[in-house]
Formats: sequence, C-alpha cells, structure tokens
Amino acid sequence: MSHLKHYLTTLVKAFQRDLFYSLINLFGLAIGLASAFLIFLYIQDELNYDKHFESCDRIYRLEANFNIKGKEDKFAVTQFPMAPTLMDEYPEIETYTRLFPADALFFEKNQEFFQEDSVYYADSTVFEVFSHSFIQGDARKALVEPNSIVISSSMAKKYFGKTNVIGETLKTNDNNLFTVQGVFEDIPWNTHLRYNGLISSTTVAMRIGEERFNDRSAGSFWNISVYSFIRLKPNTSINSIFDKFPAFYDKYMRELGDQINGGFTLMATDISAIHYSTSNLQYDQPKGNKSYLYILGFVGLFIVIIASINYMNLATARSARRAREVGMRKVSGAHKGLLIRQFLGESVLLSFAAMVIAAGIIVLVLPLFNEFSSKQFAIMNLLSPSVLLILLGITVFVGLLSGMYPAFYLSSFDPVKILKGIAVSDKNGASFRRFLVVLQFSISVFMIIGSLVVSSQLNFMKSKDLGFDKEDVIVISLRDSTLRTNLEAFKEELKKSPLILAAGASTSNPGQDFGKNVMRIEGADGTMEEEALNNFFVDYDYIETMGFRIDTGRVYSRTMGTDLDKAFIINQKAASEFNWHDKALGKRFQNRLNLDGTAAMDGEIIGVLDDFNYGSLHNPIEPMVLMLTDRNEFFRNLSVRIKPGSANEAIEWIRNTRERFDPYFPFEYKFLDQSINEYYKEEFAISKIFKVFTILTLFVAALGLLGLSAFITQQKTREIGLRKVLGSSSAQVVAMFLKDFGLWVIVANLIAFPFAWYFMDKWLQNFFYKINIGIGFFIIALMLSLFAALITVSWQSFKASRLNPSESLKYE
Amino acid sequence: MLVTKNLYKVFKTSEVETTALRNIDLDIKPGEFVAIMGPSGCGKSSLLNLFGLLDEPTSGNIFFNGTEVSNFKEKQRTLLRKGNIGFIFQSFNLIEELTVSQNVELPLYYLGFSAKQRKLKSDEILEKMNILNRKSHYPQQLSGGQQQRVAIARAVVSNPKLVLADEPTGNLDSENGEQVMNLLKELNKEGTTIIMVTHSAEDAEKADRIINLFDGQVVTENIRKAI
Repeated sequence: MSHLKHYLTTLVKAFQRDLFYSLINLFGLAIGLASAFLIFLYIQDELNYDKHFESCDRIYRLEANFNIKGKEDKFAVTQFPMAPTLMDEYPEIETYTRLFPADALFFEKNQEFFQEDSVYYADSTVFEVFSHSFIQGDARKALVEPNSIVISSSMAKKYFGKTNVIGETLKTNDNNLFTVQGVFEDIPWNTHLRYNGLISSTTVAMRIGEERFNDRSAGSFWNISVYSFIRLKPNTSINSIFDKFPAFYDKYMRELGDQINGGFTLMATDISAIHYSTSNLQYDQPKGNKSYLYILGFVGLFIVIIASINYMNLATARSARRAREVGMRKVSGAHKGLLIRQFLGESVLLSFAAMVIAAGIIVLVLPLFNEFSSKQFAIMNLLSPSVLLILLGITVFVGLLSGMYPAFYLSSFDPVKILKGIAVSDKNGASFRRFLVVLQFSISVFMIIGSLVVSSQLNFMKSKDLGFDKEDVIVISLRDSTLRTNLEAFKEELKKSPLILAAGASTSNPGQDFGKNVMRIEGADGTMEEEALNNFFVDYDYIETMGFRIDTGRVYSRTMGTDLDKAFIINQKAASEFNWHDKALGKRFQNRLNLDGTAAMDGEIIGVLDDFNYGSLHNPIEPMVLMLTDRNEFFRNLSVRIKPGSANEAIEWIRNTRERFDPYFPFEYKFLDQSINEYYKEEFAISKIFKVFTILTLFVAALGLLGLSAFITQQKTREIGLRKVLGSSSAQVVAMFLKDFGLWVIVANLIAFPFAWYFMDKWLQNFFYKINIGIGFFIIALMLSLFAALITVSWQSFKASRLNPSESLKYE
Repeated sequence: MLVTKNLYKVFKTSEVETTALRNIDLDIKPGEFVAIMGPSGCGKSSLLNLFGLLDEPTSGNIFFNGTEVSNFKEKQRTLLRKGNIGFIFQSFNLIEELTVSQNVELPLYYLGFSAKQRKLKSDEILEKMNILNRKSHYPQQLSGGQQQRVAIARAVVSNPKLVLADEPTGNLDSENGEQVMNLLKELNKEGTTIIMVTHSAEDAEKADRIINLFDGQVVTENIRKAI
C-alpha cells in the first residue's frame, strides 16, 4: 500500500510539474476512451441482434426461393401452411409460429386514432418460440382466443397509462375490439422483427373461416404471405430438414409447380444471423451491413491509438526531466523491471483518471450519440456488469498501450551517465516521436478522405437525376377505403388549389417495395415467353405527376378508352432486355395469366419510358412494367406534385381537404425524396459517425502535436534566440518550424493516400451508381491536415519567436 | 559608431527590482577595440545585449551610427543587426543540428545570399580561421577552441562593422584563448569595431580601451592607445 502511495505521490508531482502536457494527455485519453467505448457499445449492440431470445441458436426463420423459368425470387416470408405442415412432417421441429403484419390498424385512445406500425397477427405459439417476460397475463393462453391482443409495456402505457390492463379492450378504426390478454416487457431494440403488439391469428381464422385458414391445398403452397419461424429440438440440424425437403416438395408442391414451369427451395436463417445476412430477400426487415461494423471498429481503434501516441510522445519527450529520478532510483537499487512497472502503473493510473472524465463525456453525449447512430442506449445500459468490465478492459488496455514504450524507454537510461550530468541523448526518441506523429496524421488523413468520399457519394445519390423529379412530391398513404372509393373526387378537389399541380395514384412508388409477377411477353418468333417482372399499377395521372419521361409511344389516356387491361408501359431497360429495343411499341404482353395460355390482361406495349431509378442506387435499374388499373382499392399511395417552395401551405390544404372526405382517419404523408433517401439510411448514419470521429481524430492528433510542438519549441528556445541574433526575423523562425512539421504532415498524407484510395474504392463498389475518387479529395485532405498542423504549431512557435533574444539565450 | 546617453536597465521580477545598468554614457568610435571588465553581476552582459540590440533599455538613448535605436521595434532591430553586428559567445552557441559550414552560412542565409555565394564566403572565412578542413563536421565533434573559431567565423562572415564578444575565451585553455584573441586583434586591424566583455586582464590588454563597470556604473575608462 505504501508503495502505491509513493508512486501516486510521484505521479501527482509529475502531473503538476507539467500541467500543460498532463492535461493534453488526460483529455486526449479521455476523448479516446469515450469514443472507443461508445463505438464498442454500438458494435456489441449490433452483434447481439436477436441473441436475447432463449435458445436463439435453435430458432430459424423459414425463407422461400421460387424458381420460375430459371429466374430465382427469394423471400423472407413463406407460404401460410408451410410451417405447420413442416412441423407435421418432421420430428426435428419442436414448435413453430407465424407472424404477419396487421397493416393499416389504428387504435383508439380518447376518440383519437393512432397508427401502430409494429402490430402483427401471431400464432399462439409465438411465446414458445420467442421468450418474453410477461408483466401481466399467461403466455401460454394469451393468444389462443380470437380478438385477443398482447401488448408491450410501452404500448400499454401509451393507451392506458399503466401496465395492469388485462381484460381491457382496444378499439381499432375498423370497429374491432381486442381484449388485452397479456403485457410483456418491451423487446430490446436489437431485434430484427420488433413488435409492440400481437393479435391472435385465430382472429383471422374466425374472419376468413377455419377451412381457408388451415388450407393446405396445392395453390396455398404457391402463395407467400407470412414470416414463419421454427424452433428445432436440441441436437438436431436444420440441414436434415433441407435434406428431406425434396420429398416434401414432391408431396405438396410438384404437381402445380410442373404446370407453371416453376420450382421451389426451402431456405432458413438462424435468427441471430438475420440482421447481418447478406442474402437479398424480398419483404425482409431492414438489415445491417457488417462491413460498417469493421469500419467503426477500426475507427475506435484509431482514436485510441492516436490518444495513446500523444501519451507516448509527451512522456518520452519529457523524459530528460525524469532522467535524474530514474538514475537515482536505479542507483538506490531499483532494477529495470521495477521501473517498467512503475511507469506502466503511472500510465494506467492516468488512463483511469481519463476514464472518469470519459464517463462524464459519455453521459453528456449519449443522447447525441443515440440520435446519430439510431440507437436507444440508456445510462442504465452502461451500468451492467459486462459493460463495466469492458470499460475497465479498454481503460487498462489504453493505459498499457500508451505506457509500454515510455516505460521501456525511460527505464533503459544509464544511471552513471545521468548522474554524471551527461545529457541523455534523445536521438532515437526524437525519430520515434516523428514516426508516431506521422502515423497519427496518416490515420487522420485516411479518416478525412474516408468521410469526404462517403459524404460526396451520399450527396451524389441525393442529387442524382433519377429520371423523374423527386422534389416537391408529397405521397399520401391511401389506407382508408373512404378515400379510395372517392379518389377521383378527392383528386379534383385537391387540384382546386393553385398549390397542387398534379396528383396520381399507384400501388407502389420509388422508394417502396415492388411486386414481381410472372407475365408473358412476345418473343422473337411471335411465341409468348414467361418472365418474372417488377411491376406496379398506376392511374391515368400518375406518370405525368411523377414526371417520367417518354422515350417512345404514349402514356395512359382516358380518351383512348382501350387502355384498361389492354395497354402496357415499360421502361427502356425492359425493351432492351426483351431484345425489342426501339421496336417495342405494339409487342404483345400478358399479365394475370391463366394456365391455358390466356390472361386477364392481354394487350400490347403502348409506351416506353426513359429508365428511371425506382430502387436504391446500390443496384442497377431493372426491367419494369407500369400497368393501368381503375380498381382504386389496389392503390396504396396518392402522389401529389405541389408548387415548389410551398410545402407547408400545400400540406395544410391537403390535410383540410382530406378531412372533409374522411374526418376519422389519420392523415399520413411523406415527401417522396425523403422516402427514397430511406434507402441510404445506413449510409447516412455511418457518414455522420464517420464525420464526428474524423473531427475527433484530427482534434486529438492536433492536441498531441500541440504538446509536442510546445515541447520542441521549448527545447529550441536557445536556438531560436541564436538565430534571431544572427539576423533571423520572427517570421523566419515560425516558418522554420512550419516547414519542419509541414514536411511530416505531407509525408503522412503520402502514406495515407494509397490506403484511403484502396479502401474507399472498395466501399464504392457497394454502389452501382457511384462517384469517382478524384484528386480533389486528396488535395482537401492535405490542406485540412496541413492547416490543422500549422495552426497548432505556429501558435507555439510564434510565442517563442517573440521572445527577446537576450531572454532565450539565457535559456538552458 | 555607438553612443549611449544616460542608459538605464532595470530587471523586474514579481518580488524584486534590480538595476543592472545606471546612467551609462559611452562613445565608441569606429575601428576601436574596447574591453569591458568588472566583477560578476556588474552589468557587463546587460550592456553588451543593449549594444547588440538584443534587449531594450529601460530608459536612455542608444545611437548606432548616429541613428537613435533604443525605441526600435523588433523588426527594425532585426534588420539593423543583420550584416551590421556579429556576436561571439562564451559558450560558442553553435547550432548542434547544423554542420560547421551551415552554422557559418546562417547569417548570410538571413541576408539573402545565394547558396553559391554563401559557400564561397564561408569557405573563405573558414580558411582564414584555419578550420576549413572541419567544415562538414558537427559542433560536438570539435574541440572548444575549434568551436570558438567557427563561432568567430560565423560572427564575421557577413563583414559586420561591429563585433560583440561575450567572454570569448572564457571556456578555452590559454593556448586556444590566445589564438582567439589574435584572430580578434587581426579583425580589428582590418577595421572592425570590437567590443568584448572579459574577465581576463591579459585579454583586456589587447584592447585599445578598457571600461570598468561596477554595480551597473562605469567607474574607470583606461585609454591605452590614441586613435
């Protein structure tokens, strides 16, 4: 104990003696620790998706892979009877459950309706598959009866203000009453399928009839609709089900499959792997991109390294001052190992002091961090033993990392020389410090280029011409039947305001999911060939509203009278994919096929649109068919083009008009460009994180440089005086320092450039539409890093250069 | 060359106020060799710093070739020093990271000479100081006497009219000390004004005039030789 006290005293004294340097070290380390820790929290949270469910390693999501005419279509949802039938066939399956979204449900509270996005219909077995802690109710019975609902504690609080609400009822906008049969603790945010409420699937059975609900006919196996999960028995493998699946296919699916020229393969993903699975499934939940985790991990490591380098630099730079202490200790019998331990102890202690400050920083910035990382960490999360243990681990690691080199360096001083008064040669130390500073700035430059490239790519995607005008379009969701039945009148009413330029309805929109259907197209020799094609339905006004450009032919027109079910519009990509090229007009086209070769929609191509990006710019444009319908109940969106710059007034006008048509249904709208930008949500988040940490990295590196340059100018005070005596001006003195440090920074840039280019080019490969990494990025990075370094250095050297030479010459 | 009138220098720290120089009136003629003597702390070095425009007087005037310079700004002082005043120090004050040649070239560099001219002039002066063979060495590789010869070379390479020497032989043995004094004498013969602070009576003997300082005041002036 007295040992510790002794070293503590030494440390505190050393700290006070060099307060400026010590504070730089302390805050650099604190920023490094706080950053590393927040990044760690983020990564841990991401890597533990769905792991909070008991025996999550035995829970699989079933997935469907349809193969129509050699084209694969993969889905995250499966056929309605798939899971129960598999359960009957295969003893490996312990239990199963199915979930499907209860879309368009609004719940009443005090006569006002609120939309709930995350309410699903679920089989009563859902709580067998997914473990929940129930606050109220019995998990086994809660979802057995029709019209039962189980809700999360936050949903209970929202509608009832309390959680003991068993037996209470929730009313929906379609006048159904659901009885609350259970309340569960909110599901952690890192769950791929996160729900706030579950309605018993028997409700659906009651509505559509048991027979249809339990239908296992051939047709029901060629229709996908639900998220299906199975839990295997211990010590069984999902592969044994895959192995036996061909027999299942023969028994339930082959007959119809052969008729429609299709095939089917069952797939499944372990639930804890869903968030980072790379398979591209339709109707999948939003997923994460693992490469961003690696990037973040590196960023965290970078900041820690940079902060540790500050410590190493300043500790060794000041070593001459501690040489006498080392000499005395050695002469008094301290061996090298003891000294190493002493110095390591110091750095670890400082690291702990930094941790205390870091904890303060973390608490302060946590809300901000949540905002830009789209996470929901609470201070309470930070106090769990595992998290504290990691914090402790990071702190000790940083302490050791930063103390290692100084410890060995300091402890290797020769006591005889020191005590004789021979100055300790700092040659090796000085060049090592130079190397470390170069390393710090290389990392910073790498980060600068990285964040520049990321944000330019994002700007590029935001501003790229998508082939239509995505600005000034408000998309109203059409969930209520009242509005859908009166759609034409509603549109006319809207257009009475000069703020509304056009309005058109559609089943989908750029930025939303598109259906894929098997259609028939005219082949080379006039025969009809099947193709699975992206498509959506539109009304007469939609194409004009969106501003899609016509390549050849015309758009749908009321005056023709023949367009319904007989006219088709495709994009250029489809025309070229079908080898029609500029002869697409008049080609035969069929949709809603019958098995005998006829089709409910049978007609010809009347128009080809210029290609437009309806999906993410990650991917190339695919063939697309826009079909006309007058069945308003299909439409999901009404896109309204408004006068530019009048968003607020236009929304008010739409809201009021809408209320006149249907006062009870909540008004929901989105801006088209915003929904399209949803594709890049993850990139936006990573870009923000990248920017913040780039600034931090540069800041910590500059902090270190500030300390080092202060030290060097101090060391060179006499030389500065001498140079001034010999005729140098103050400006020349400052220039001398800038030249020196500037050179290091330039070297750092040259080192960072190839790495930055390589990794950012790799990142850009994620995008089909992408920017080029121009020389501009490198020039900006060079300028920024030089600027940061020069500001830092000139402050110190300017101070020194102003000293009267008679003062500086006295300096020894 | 150098005239001072009623010169005062007061050093202030937070606790004490020390008057280093009081009421100094001196007139140093061009081509003179002046030695300043006196016990430690009598203000010799302070006076030399004022002569060299390295420091500002608290009050009083300094005229350099007739121009009042005591209230010169930092920039003006630098400009005046350049090429006009050379300095020699007791502790040589060579820059360790630079070679002998580079040290000598430094004043020429600040005067804006081209690299070629600098090399030419520095070689010439090093030759004269009899140390050209060491021009690529670093100061630590030289003996004290050699270092001081390099320092003198540096002080005079730009042909200054005035050379200020602060105990130039203080760190040298007698043999090397004598060599240095002879070099200074030679420079003086060639027309350079030299003001030298020294403890050594022997060195002072080489000067035309000896100024004795005590407690910041001039006590005696011995003119040894008529000009």
